[in-house]
Amino acid sequence: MRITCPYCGARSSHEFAYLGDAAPSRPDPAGPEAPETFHVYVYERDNIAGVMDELWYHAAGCRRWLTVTRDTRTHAITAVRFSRTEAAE
Amino acid sequence: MTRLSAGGLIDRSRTLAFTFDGKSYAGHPGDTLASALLANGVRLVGRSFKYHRPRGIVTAGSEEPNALVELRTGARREPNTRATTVELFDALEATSQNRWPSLDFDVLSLNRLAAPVLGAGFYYKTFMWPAAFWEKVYEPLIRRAAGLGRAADAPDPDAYEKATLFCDVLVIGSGAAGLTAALAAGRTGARVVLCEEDFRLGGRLLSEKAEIDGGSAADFVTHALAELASLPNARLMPRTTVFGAYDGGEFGAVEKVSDHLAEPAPFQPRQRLWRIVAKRSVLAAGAFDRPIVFPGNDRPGVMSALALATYATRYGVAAGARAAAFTTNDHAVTAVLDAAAAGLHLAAIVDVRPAIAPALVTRAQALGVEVIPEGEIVATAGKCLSAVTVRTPMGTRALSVEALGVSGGATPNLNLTCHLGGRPVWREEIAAFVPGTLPPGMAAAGAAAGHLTLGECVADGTALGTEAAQAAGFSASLAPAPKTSDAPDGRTAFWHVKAPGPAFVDQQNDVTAKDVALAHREGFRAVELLKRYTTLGMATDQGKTSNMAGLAIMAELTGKGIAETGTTVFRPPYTPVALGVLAGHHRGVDFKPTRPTPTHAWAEEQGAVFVETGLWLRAAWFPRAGEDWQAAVNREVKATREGVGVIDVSTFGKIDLQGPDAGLFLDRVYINTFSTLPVGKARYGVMLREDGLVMDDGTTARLADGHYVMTTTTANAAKVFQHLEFCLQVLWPELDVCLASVSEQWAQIAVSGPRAREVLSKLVDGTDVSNAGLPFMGAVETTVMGGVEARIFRLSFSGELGYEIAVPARKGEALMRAIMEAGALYGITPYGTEALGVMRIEKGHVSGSELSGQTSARDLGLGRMASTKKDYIGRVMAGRPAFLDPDRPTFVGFRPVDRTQRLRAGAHFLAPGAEATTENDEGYMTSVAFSPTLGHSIGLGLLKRGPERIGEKVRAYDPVRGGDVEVEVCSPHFVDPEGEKQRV
Amino acid sequence: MSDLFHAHSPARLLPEGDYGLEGAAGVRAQAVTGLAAATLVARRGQTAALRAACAAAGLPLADAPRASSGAGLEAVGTGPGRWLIFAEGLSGRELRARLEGLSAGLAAVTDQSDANLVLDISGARAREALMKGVTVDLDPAAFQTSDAATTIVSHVGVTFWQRDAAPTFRFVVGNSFAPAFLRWLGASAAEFGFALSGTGRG
Repeated sequence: MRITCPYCGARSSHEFAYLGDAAPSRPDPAGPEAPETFHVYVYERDNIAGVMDELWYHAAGCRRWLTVTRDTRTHAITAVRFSRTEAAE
Repeated sequence: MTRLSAGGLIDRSRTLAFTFDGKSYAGHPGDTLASALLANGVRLVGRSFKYHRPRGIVTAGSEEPNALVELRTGARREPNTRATTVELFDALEATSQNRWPSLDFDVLSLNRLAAPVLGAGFYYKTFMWPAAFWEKVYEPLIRRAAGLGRAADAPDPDAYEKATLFCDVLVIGSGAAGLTAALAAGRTGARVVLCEEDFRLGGRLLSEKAEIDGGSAADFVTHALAELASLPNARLMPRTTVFGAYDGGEFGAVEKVSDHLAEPAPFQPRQRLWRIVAKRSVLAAGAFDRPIVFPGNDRPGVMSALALATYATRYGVAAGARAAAFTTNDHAVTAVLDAAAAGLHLAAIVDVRPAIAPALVTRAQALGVEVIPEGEIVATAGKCLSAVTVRTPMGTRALSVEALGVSGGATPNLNLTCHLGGRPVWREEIAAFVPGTLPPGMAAAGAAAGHLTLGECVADGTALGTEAAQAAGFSASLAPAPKTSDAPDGRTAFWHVKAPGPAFVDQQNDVTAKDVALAHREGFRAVELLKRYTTLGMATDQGKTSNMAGLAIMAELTGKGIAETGTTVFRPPYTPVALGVLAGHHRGVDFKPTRPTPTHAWAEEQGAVFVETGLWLRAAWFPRAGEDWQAAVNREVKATREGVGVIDVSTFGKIDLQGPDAGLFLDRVYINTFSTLPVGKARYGVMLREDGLVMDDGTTARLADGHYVMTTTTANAAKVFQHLEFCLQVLWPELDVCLASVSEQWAQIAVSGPRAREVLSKLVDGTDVSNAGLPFMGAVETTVMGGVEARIFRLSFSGELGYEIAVPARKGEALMRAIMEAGALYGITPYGTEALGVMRIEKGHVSGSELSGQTSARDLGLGRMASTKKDYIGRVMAGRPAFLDPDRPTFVGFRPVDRTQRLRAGAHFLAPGAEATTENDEGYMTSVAFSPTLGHSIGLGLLKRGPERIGEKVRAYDPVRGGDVEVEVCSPHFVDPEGEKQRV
Repeated sequence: MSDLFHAHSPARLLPEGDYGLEGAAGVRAQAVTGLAAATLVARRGQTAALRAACAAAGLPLADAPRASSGAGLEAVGTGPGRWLIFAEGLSGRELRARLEGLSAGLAAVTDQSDANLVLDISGARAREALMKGVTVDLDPAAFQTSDAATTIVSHVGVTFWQRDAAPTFRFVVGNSFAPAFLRWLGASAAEFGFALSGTGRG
């Protein structure tokens, strides 16, 4: 599989480390339901057959965390962007 | 000899000597081992896998199911090599396999007598009971009988390598479709790679007698190759098999660089693994000649009709003194007539059709070949073929022949189109499966797509080569395809002769038509079940030639038709790939990188014994004459505790953090607080994963207001860096912190022991290193050795007065030598990772064995470090009830009640008298050492309610190594529990 | 080609000398010494400002995997807002001071002068040898002078860029990985003849 890093260009997936679904966001640790929301955040994931946003880390390249839109059925990648928005650069 | 007197693409002016089963033969350059064996009249080349039936050469290509031989001898011996793809070289040595004591007389061929009970599902049904028999009786028995060749038992002396190639258009196969595709794409300027598994480019054109553009097919090949060779943007790769299609236009290919030589030329690899990244690809892999299933169809001498023709036309070999053909299609009839024209004595063509094209009949008559329409072969005779029985509506008759060329039509070679999940679709007009959904960017051309005539092939190649280049961004218009002289192809679908006797579907796995019928009777009717139950298509050839007949027979039995029956699909690799080429350069000491420390050369001089820790090579101990490792380690520990010792600790991960939010950031990733750490101070920190378990520990120092430097454990350096980047980029992008790895920039050397300060004071350029000037946990940026930049941290892993001195890596060795010189007066002693480990266990510091990914900070006795005034990664989940359970095994120390006894890591704790059951398990020993300071074995471990049980006695039970030691629970801080020595 | 270097420790740099095919070397590698190096990382939201400041001082910075030079410095993009800067004839401390002056608080500067082996790889067959580990397209149509890449070669992280059309590629390899990198390069270049210099006599 090849991932087109927005900075480095198309590279073999071997250069990247996979984390998983990009959708979950870290809950409010001070929230009243923190134990429950963190449990969901840490452990619960949908097993999506289809298009999803995933987090990949370009470990062997620019060391950016990337949000990759990939179809888990075909491995077709339709979008890759920096997880950290440009405004923060 | 059965070499024809003329013709073929072989160099008759040169002779190559080779041996098969120790007997000497001769062949010519241009031969394969198979063609040379046939030229020498060798027809029996192997024994089948299960029944050990005599088998001969069936094909002239990589689809060969039968002719598997061992090639070469000694360390280069290679089993299961297809003789049909082995390019003959001088002094080649080949051996038949799967027979004992000899190919001609094979004891296990008695299996044939047992064939009625060795049918499909035999193993499943037989080796079931009693269970105890499996390991001792059945498995050794099966293992002895199974397997084909023998792997070499010495290390492979040859080299292998890997390489990556990028192109616009990859063309797979160099026959009519492949050559025209490569030409069309190459002419646009696109980067074209043409891969051909054969050593000679041209594919079927090498035995084709029809004309292209008014000239011979051979001339067309010559001109096409010359043009491609002249294009700087085209790369021709003979001897290169594309074995797999992968996501994103990546392909795997093996180039047999030196397989055609006795041994590789100097500095050349034996094989090279190519990863080819292609924007577009054209699959022009041709088609396989399909066998017909009939009684006795596995007798040596029975082969594919196109192979029979190829041996005659391409190699100038008659596969038998007298031959016949058994056909269903005009393509095969034409080919065997071409062979007859080349000099093969072809007695008859037996065709299942009521009539064949008059032009072909006329040509047969002119060549003296009898045409027998509506005929079927119902039996064969001879150990190697001597006669066949033909059945026609008029009755049966015998034909005395040594070779029989069989063709049941064409099976498109669509293997690669399935690798990404594509399923072939049935095309009734040609009675064959053709590619269904193709991998993105791939087009199938010519026979691989079911376009079987030469005219279709060149038209396809021209069109698809042009389209591929266009899709890759090159402008081109479609040029007219070359004109061909071939006639339209007639055929009928025919699979299976109904007559008594064993008729083989899969020759490599000995699957018969009866086995398919048995699978049907027993309900294994889906193609996937048929395959697993009978092992049809599961041999090393993946059923390239056999699958079709198997599922056609099943379709007949179920009455469902082939389209509905469907087909199994193919997975990579297309043909077997040697593990050596997948490893490439990475074997032996090059299996993985070896990372030396900055003081490696110095440590070598000191006679250090090294240990691999991850990729690092570190000094484990420094033995003196007459010392074993224990003596050396004891000495190193004592010398450090009583005087001063030195160790290279450069392998720790080191991360530079800069920016106004660095302190806040550290507060969020460590359980304790760093924003309040004064400049010039270091602090031990513990980092959790978000699930509340400990990820890593280390010290972090504040060098300036917005500048910290973190150390990580050696093992977790990369993991921690990735985690910090995740936190900064994904969790808290608003934080202004810049990270840089400085692991390679700084060499770091620890000097420990009561005399450490005296040693250090001789190295610094006037820096005050007194207890007041540089107190415990102090950090200072300064210079040493007369102007060398340095960072000095007053830290201690050993528990002694200690300093870690960091200097730029290239100064690391000089620093070590300076330390040794400065410390000579105090008997400074280098110590290795073993002594380091002993001292940290004596001090009760946690390390890799405790940071196991299953322990919380509380488990490790570090819970009190956790700040309650802030959030940090892992805080919420660390507060889970299960993690707060007082019964959770918790960190404590252990010493044997009988001090002479040795403790072992991994031992489990049991209450005295408790039975050794999982329910009674109270934890386990994580680390042990012999403490030279205390004079006995000590241990660290995790014990249920450990800290409440100091003074209690428990059993350390180690059933794996037979250990059962009574131990006393104690504080993990065996030496200087108050930590006074490190603060002096 | 494990056998080729059986006499050399995998923990030491391959000593200078000629390896593989005899005759004119198709691949040359020269260890470059006397370079100061530093990472320059733009602070949050300051990439554009940092580039402007550096450009004004004569050092253009590409926010892309490309090399550029000016003001006596050579800069290579290794990630968004992140560069490796090299200088000849300066100490690490001097380079750091210059960059801190140039970037005026817009960037974090970290000395890396001792972190890496810097190796110039050139020769008529350099691309063919590099193909055996570099998984980036080095064809002249795809990778030209000034183009740079940070990638992994034979399990070793590297940053490299093309310095001229000869071609000469400059590779930056972490010190502790340099012995493994040289063993891979030597094995890959042996068939073309490999001349290595600047790594000492071993």
